[in-house]
Amino acid sequence: MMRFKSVIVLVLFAFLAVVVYLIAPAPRIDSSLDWIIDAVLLIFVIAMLIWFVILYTVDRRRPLKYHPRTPDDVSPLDFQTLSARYPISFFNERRISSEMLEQVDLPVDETIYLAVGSGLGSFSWVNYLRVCGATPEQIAVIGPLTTPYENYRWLCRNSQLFDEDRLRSDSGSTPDNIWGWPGYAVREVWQCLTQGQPGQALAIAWQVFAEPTLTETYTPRSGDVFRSIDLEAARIGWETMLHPGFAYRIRKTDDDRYAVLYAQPGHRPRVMIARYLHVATGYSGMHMLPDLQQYRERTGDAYRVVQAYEEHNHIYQQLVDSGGTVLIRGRGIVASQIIQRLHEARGENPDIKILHLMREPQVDKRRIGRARRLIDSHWQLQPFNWPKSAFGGQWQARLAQVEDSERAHFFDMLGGVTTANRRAWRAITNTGLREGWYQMFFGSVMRIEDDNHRLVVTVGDKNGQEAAMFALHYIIDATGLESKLDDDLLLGDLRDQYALDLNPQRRLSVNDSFEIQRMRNGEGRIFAAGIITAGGTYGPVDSFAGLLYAAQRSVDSLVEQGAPGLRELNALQSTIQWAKWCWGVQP
Amino acid sequence: MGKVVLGGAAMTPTLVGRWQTRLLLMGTVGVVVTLLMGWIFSDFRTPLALLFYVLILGFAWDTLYHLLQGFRWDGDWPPLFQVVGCLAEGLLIWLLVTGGVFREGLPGISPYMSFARFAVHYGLVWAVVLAFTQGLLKVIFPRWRFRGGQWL
Repeated sequence: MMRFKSVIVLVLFAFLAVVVYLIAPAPRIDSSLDWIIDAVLLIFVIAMLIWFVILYTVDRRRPLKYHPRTPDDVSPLDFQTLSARYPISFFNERRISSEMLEQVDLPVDETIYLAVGSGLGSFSWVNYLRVCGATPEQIAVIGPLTTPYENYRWLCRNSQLFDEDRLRSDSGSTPDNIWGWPGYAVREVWQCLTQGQPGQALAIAWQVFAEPTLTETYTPRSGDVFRSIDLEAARIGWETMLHPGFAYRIRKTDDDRYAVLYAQPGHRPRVMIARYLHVATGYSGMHMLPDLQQYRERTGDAYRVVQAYEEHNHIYQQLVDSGGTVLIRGRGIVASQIIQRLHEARGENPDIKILHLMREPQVDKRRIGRARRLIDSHWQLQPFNWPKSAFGGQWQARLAQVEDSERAHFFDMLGGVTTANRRAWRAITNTGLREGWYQMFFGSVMRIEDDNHRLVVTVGDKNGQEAAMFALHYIIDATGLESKLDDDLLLGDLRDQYALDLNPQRRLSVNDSFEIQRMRNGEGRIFAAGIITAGGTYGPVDSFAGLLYAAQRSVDSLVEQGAPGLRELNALQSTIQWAKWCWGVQP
Repeated sequence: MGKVVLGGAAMTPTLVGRWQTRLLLMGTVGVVVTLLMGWIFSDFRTPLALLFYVLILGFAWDTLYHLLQGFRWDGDWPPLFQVVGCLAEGLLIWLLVTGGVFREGLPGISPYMSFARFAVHYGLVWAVVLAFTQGLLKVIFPRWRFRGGQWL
């Protein structure tokens, strides 16, 4: 309908143009140019005024002051232990009836839209629902986090990315704004102007304009992103929708809805019933290379052998105090970030050496068709974790069309492990390589032994022969996070219970609307977003932009279905809602 | 395995998306700017004919841009490229309409059109188009950026 209206508008304009052309009188000769300059100036002034109003209003929003909860040191119990204490074993059934719920003594709440997980995936979905007209009373969110970015920020900080550091994210990937405009670059330009830093403002404007050819790609400061999410959380009433706790079970009910069992550690489990569900529970844990895992299990040494996403500040302190050698595993953005941090530590104590162990060299540029990916010193370089057009454009269209078997190849080629092309990082690695305090080795770890306060690592070559031995102080595993369904208590159970389809990467299979089709229950629908759906027709699901896209697709399908409280986000509604966002008033 | 320190990217066009976006913007805000110019210049015919030529030639330019875009790993088209394209398109149009290529120029264009008039009109249309693709279009069409520039 909306497209039809747009076509009508276009036809009207074309008609107007043709009519004016036909009835217009013959032209006269040019006279003076003064009025042209006047006209251009007038238009320029009007444009600047509009711009000013827009930017001024962006600043008017006020952040949410979260109510801090008592910290839960208790990690959640597993379902078996919990069911020994509370009458919840009926949640092992595939279908739950209202009689079952009446018979047991559990608090039961009802809602229409329920987001499982309280991180950025749920935030994007709830934000979109609110913009499309759902009220806070119609939405509930179950999850353990106080702020949507709590876990994200914790992981960032552990991997040495602090609030003033820049994320690997585009200006227009704005979790706080479903339109992606104004992006973080525009807001930062404005911030610089209001704080009297016109030079910095100009630099950012130039960066956005000329990236990535003449300058580095613009990326926002993580602190700015978190603050913007606070503002939006306040605007949409995030906290009023939040129900603290971990989700244990999702079950179909006999009245076309779903029941979710959840509990806060140390509290009685509760049940939430909803017609529409959205699951975005994220990573199930940290990934650790098997050889490091074995070493840690054997020795219990989690002090010298760490995962980059674990808290490991002691390593940098120790290195600054008494120097040492660090071995880094992994070649992605986290490894870059860690090397940058180690480089800073070298400023205080030059007696720090970095060894970088990779499985194999990377020399050949990857190519698909006419395009090739940049490589520098065995690092694969790419502005974001996927090529830009995989978020929306050529690669996105291509990935959506290809067969499953071919898609695996594209995932490997386009996704894969890359880092950002930042001048500072390239300078660090190249200087380090030249001066010898940063060295790269290729091979796999055969043994790790503990020898008098040192770790002795034996590295094997491609044929499994011993090739080198290193004595060092610390090992940092920067190979990422775990995203297998098997390790996920909630989704592993869901998959087994309802025999869910998995995609080629063995994650939840979703349709183009991000719906888990097997979970359909009459009118009821379950959607999923984020890393738990990686491997489907849309590549970068695990990104701010991917979460926004998933939210858009799933909420649009709900609108089409006539879900309660929602209206279509057409051109007019969208513009009105955007204006409300600018003014910082409720959707 | 994944990495947390990431976010995503801006809109990059597909060929169909380019054509549709060009048609939409030239056909709406382009017409508005052109009529405004016609009113200021007291000549509606020349600016409207110009807009028409820019639009038709643009479809061919878009095909060229699309081919060039294939050489870029990211498959993107930065604002800088958009501006360079705008200058190249403008130059070609100017050569065509003033008889640099065809001896008589193109039909509908007043022989008295000065370069200043051409530059102001063409520049303004492009400035508005650029402003829309970089911002306002995302507001009016929230799905546009995820569909490679398609709005139909």
